[in-house]
Amino acid sequence: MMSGPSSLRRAAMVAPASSYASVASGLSRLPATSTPDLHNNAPASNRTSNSFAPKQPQSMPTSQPLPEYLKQTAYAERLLQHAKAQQAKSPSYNSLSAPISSLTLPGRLPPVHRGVAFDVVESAPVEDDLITALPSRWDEHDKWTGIEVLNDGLEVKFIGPQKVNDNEAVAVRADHPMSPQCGIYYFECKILSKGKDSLIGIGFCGGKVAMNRLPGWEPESWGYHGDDGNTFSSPGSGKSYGPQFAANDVIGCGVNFNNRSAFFTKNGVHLGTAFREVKGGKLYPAVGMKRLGEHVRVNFGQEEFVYDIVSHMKEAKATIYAEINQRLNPSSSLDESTLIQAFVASYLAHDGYVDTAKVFAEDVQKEARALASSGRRGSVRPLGIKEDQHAINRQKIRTAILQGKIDNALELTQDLYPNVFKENEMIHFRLKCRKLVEMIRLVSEASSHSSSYNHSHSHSHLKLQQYKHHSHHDDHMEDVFGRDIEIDDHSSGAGEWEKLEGMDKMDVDEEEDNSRLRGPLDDAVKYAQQLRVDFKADTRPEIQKALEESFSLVAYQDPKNSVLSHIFDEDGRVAVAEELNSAILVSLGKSSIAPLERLVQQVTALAQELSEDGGPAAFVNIHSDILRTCTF
Amino acid sequence: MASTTSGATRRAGGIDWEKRVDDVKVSKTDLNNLVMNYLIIEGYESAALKFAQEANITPQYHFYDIQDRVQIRSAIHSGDIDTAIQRINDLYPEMLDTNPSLHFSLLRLQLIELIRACTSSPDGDISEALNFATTRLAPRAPGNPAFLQDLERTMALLCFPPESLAPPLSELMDPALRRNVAAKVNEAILESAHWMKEAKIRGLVRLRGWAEQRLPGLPPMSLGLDIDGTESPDAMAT
Repeated sequence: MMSGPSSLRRAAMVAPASSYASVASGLSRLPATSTPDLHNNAPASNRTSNSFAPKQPQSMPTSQPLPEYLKQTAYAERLLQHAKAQQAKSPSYNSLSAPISSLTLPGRLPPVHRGVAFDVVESAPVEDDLITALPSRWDEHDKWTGIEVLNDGLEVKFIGPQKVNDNEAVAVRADHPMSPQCGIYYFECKILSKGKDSLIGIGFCGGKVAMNRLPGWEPESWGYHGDDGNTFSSPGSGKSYGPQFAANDVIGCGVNFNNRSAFFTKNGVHLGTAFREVKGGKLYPAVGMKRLGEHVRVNFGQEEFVYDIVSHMKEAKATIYAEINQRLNPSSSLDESTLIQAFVASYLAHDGYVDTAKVFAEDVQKEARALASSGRRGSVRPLGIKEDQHAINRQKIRTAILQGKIDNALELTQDLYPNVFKENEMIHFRLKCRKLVEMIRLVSEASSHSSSYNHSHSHSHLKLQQYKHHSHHDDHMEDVFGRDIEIDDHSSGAGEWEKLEGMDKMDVDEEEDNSRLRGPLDDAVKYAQQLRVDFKADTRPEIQKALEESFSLVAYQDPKNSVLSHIFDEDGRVAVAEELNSAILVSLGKSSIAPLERLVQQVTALAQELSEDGGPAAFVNIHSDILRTCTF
Repeated sequence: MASTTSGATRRAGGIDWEKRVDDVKVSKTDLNNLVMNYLIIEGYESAALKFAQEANITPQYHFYDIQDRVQIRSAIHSGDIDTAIQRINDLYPEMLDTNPSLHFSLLRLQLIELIRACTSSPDGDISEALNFATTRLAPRAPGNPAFLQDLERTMALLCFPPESLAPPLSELMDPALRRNVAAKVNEAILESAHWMKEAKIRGLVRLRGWAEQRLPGLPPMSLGLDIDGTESPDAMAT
């Protein structure tokens, strides 16, 4: 990942929302930790950030536990993506009030939204119809009478009849099947109490298996029974397996979908493989019982497991990686090193890193010469790298954007590749929005610069008041925002400002200070108005959303320290620079995708394909294993 | 596993496989990081510095050992194993003592270079190579069957004219062997500094080869990689 500053800024986002949060309502997606604004139109002055308890919208799915051992998996990422996509689809979706997701993922994952409006590439939620949810509770509609589901679906209790036929029992299934995409699925049951001549069975079964039988007594049903410690996987097939279990024991059940085996644990101890060739479609966790007094609580990952399933998972992963890293047949074709040099060289050229490409080519050639001193060409092939004027042009344009000189980039593109904007008006538009962001950044930087030696609260506050009044009473401004701006002078916004002010108090000429800020600020406002006029007729939601987001920056007294500060992230520059670069490449008749990018796409798709139905790639996560751990 | 295969062909066999690949979103930041990680791990110092500038990224890595690694690697690449071993012993005095198989790989490469030198001219003197083999390599071999086999195979190079070698003997004379040994040394240095031992991009390339092998029903996938002017369809089958 990139260096600290941007993540620091992101952390700042969760600071108490400023008094202008109402402006931002519906414009920005905040982490769930900031106070949700449930009513877009509530007057800002009626609220303080702490007295307003967050309320979960009714339409949100109940919070689903994501077990620790699955957190680093690609499955967990897909689940999160899916949840986001669902959320975005729901009509009641309010980006500010809805938490990003009911799932919690580890800090290792990238920030979900970077550079918001411009960042379609990195954070667009994708539909994923292949993903299935995890078991979260016992299903009270999928059980035999005589078993009661209690405590939010986590506990089951035998309630009668007192006498059950010898070959009958009562059982319950979980609400969702175990997902093979996890690679390994694991859950635990604690025996809270047991009856006389107790008979409790823990295991899993298909969705159609009768629920008046213990797990393991039917075809497509597997179980471990407490009375004799045997395992069952079809009628009358008891096999000696492990110890008996009774009250206060914690029994775990794990299914490895990669090798189709299952195991049990007792009080944190692995009891060995119980079943092989576990076949069948959807398999649900199941528990069955037979005597009054039997009472079991399940842990589907909502709390820590007794057995160290996290290490178990790591071992499974290490085994798969050992297989992957085995260099099969190293001499069969082009060697890995040359191949990777080709990926890197083509990426540098493709993406317009002209100077790096040149230096890299020199290094590679030096290396090739050294190797050639062996007098053989062998399997090491030299890499030819050519220079190309378009690459240099593209590099110039990119550099301009990365440095925030958007005007420069606009001109260069217009001169060198006039068709690009004609054919890609969306990119043209994004660049213009970025220009506005950069203009506001300049104002903001100038203002915080001045505040470093203008330490008088009252004066700087006054200065801001003036600007606020300006914006509030100016018809044009209201037109720009397209909405009424609520202004609240005495809540946290001013507090933040005070913090920035420092302690010393010293008078400086307020007029001078104002005039220095006013010029660039007016320019930004004028530019925003022009954008508004130009794109007023365009009703595409992405255009309107980007416009609103950019405009809302103007309303902040200190946008770089506001809840919208992420818009200033340089990632936003990168995204728009890459889009333009790709568009130019396409206009030149070249592929818009570098081979390296293609490689990542292919590997991602391959790994996903190879994790369906419990394939071995379930233990592989391209993001956390490779892409997000590229330290340097 | 039968269900995996049939599932794969069911979903992947149709036209939507290509679309699924196209639909994968790749972050440019990730790609840049992947490249930067490669340049630093594999010791392309000047390219890494340029890239940091051009891509506007800040490496956290201290470049202090990169030149040492590059020097050692260059020495191995050009067949100067003596210099490489000396450098390694100067900079990382314990490395070869604690890693006998790495030490053996280096010595065997040195033997190969000696054999290369004497077999390339008609009146080459093989006594230096023989001497090196008996004094430096032979004492290490008996304890380890893999060493012994490697040594025996290497000595066989003396029996055949270099231009008519067939695999697996030809592999010993291939420059790829120098490159592999250099890579192993680089890994050992990085590991001793508690760094990741190889560039992440290597894992990515291997993953592709592995997954493709596991999913034989898939349509062939082009990478658009242009090596020596021609697309190498089997380039990834490593």
